[in-house]
Amino acid sequence: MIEDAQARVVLVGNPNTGKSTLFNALTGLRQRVGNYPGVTVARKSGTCELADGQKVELVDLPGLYSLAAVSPDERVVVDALLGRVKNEHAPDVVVVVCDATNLLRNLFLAAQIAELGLPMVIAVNQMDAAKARGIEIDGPLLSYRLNGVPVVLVSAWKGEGITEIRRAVAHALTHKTIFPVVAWPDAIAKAVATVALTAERDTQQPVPEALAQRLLFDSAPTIAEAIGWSAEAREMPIRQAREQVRRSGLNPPAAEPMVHYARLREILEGVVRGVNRETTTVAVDSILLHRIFGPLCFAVIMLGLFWSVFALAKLPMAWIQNGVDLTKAFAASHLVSTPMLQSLVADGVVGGVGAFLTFLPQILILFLFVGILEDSGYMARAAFIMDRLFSWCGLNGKSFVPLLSGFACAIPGLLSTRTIEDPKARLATAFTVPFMSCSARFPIYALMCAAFIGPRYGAFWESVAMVGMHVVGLVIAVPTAFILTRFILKVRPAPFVLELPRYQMPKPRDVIWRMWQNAYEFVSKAGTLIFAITFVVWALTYFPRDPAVAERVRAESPQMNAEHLEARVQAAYVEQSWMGRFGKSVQPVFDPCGFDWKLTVGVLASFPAREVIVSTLGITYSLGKGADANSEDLRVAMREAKWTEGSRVDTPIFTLPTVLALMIFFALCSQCGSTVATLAQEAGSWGWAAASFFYMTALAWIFATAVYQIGSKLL
Amino acid sequence: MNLDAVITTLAISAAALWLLRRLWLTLQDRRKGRGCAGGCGCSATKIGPR
Repeated sequence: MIEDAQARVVLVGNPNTGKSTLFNALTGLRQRVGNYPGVTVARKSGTCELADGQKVELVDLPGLYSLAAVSPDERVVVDALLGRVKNEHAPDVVVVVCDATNLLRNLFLAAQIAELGLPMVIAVNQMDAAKARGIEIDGPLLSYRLNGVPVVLVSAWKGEGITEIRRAVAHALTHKTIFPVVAWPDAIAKAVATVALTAERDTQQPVPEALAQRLLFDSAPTIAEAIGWSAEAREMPIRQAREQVRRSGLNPPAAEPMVHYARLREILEGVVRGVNRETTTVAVDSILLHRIFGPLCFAVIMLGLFWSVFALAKLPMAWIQNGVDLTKAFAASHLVSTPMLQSLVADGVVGGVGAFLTFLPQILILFLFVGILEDSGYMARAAFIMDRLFSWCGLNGKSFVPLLSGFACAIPGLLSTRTIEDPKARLATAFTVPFMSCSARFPIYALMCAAFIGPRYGAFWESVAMVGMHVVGLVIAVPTAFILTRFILKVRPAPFVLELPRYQMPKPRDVIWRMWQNAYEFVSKAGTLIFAITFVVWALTYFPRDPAVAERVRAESPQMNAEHLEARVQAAYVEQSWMGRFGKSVQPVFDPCGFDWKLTVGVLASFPAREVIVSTLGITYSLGKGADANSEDLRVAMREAKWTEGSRVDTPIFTLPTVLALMIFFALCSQCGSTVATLAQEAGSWGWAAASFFYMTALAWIFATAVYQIGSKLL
Repeated sequence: MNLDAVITTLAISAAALWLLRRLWLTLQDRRKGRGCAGGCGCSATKIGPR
């Protein structure tokens, strides 16, 4: 726990200035992630030791360009700087992290923060990139012109300047180094004073000039709402103050940047030297963002990514499978005297959790590559390429971040729609986010590819199937969004501005750290949710155990050898279990998709959380095979599965059409309780959540049926 | 009832109760708008105070 007496230092800056890298370097990954009260914005903090040995709390605030806050993320930064976050005082020092290659624009934020009168340190980061472009920065001269505010030239990625930052923060804490405020033109100064006075009178609380400036300049009512100044009360005085500024020949929204930039240009005169040479980023972007080559490169990168995932994961997956088999055999041999417990542990827990854990290497490698693509700066380009597609279907430009997040998990994707100001555009985006193929769908795709597509068609077609499954949701989302935005919600298009970061070499420590966090999530899920569900699924698949079933099977096949007879008895028990009976009664609904009762059970069990299917299939196939089948993994068991009744009796259940139908069903179906609940919360009504659930599930069934029926006719 | 059945019943009951408790907590989190209740593996898992 951080003590109250500890000083609080915050890192602020524009997006993509390397704040998080600097934060990691200063805290040494000793971080805590929480949330700001009342909002779903992450609060990342850690302990940083300064040069004088003093320990301070370091908080990494979300990136923003200006204090004119609109989105929840930006509001949090403003609240944190004003000391308006519950149980938090204003920061003792603000470290403004600037991009050395664009110092003028980055210092605009520092100039705005200066109005709050907080001690400041300027960290000019990414000096390595600036030097590569031929830019030189005179830190001491800049510090001199800023009345002694420490200016530190940093390359956080290389670990250069970190000690100097620790020294500078200690200095700022002791000497209260304040960034000099701008001298406002008379008209603005008077208008600000008038707004401050009126706001103080109406709200009965002191309103400092820094807040009055925001009230005057910003169109968003963030500060007015924060101080409780009602719309009726503020409308007239703010309008009059803006009119006062306009009469002096200044345009109120443009006046603030104009005044700040004019002064900052004077300050930076002679501080920034050299030429801003065109770099490799521009050359690489001319190909990767090309109208034709860009999407092609994107497709090749995605294919390469999934191919690598399959190729590299094979060996570690085999090791885990061996480990699971050994554990199963060990448990089975030590629990012979308690057959029920033996089946629960070997078939239920080890079979179910083991089937899920087998995919850990693929998940790890996937997140490793995604981390590399993110840190290299390519992911922002991917968003830019996708922008063309989505602007066609009428989605707001800001929809891309939520949709991109949806590929990891729909929940953060839905939560990040809060950055979209237009409520209709927000709703349309939220409705389409669950179509993005989240990582929870990955295990079932991986199982199907590893069991059926890879062995028959090779790693290339495995990758094609995997990319196809990620694209299919996108392909359905486009017309869905088109219909929603054009005909139902009638959304007006809005411009989209995306800053493309420079390409850079990913930092191994950061990429591995994120991969580790994802691995932890995956394993902890296997150890909690999946673990608990396996008990329930096992019980439903094991009971009731009527001895008459075994007697009937033995009487029907008296000549059969003991091993085969035991397998048939186990299969009969599973068929007449509660789960078996339930699956068989619902199976006719999924029969057109080519699903047998075991797959039906898996599909139904996956509605609360889709990744449950792998462990459910693990149990139903383990139990059906009998206790002696513990050397065979789920993939082999599924390859050998055959229809036991109906017109397809004794033919394999898992044909290519069935496998593709199952994958498409999972790609489109709404199978996540948390997503449905979050959509209801974000849309403000259960109606939209219900519409999304039925629409997606119906589409999934229709497409799966079409694929199975057409595929069965053709193949 | 033999020891085998007793242990199995206890284990399954404990797992079922744990799942019910988790469902209850998830619904509570949703109601309070705390973001993801966890378990889905997403980055938002850590957002809600636990």
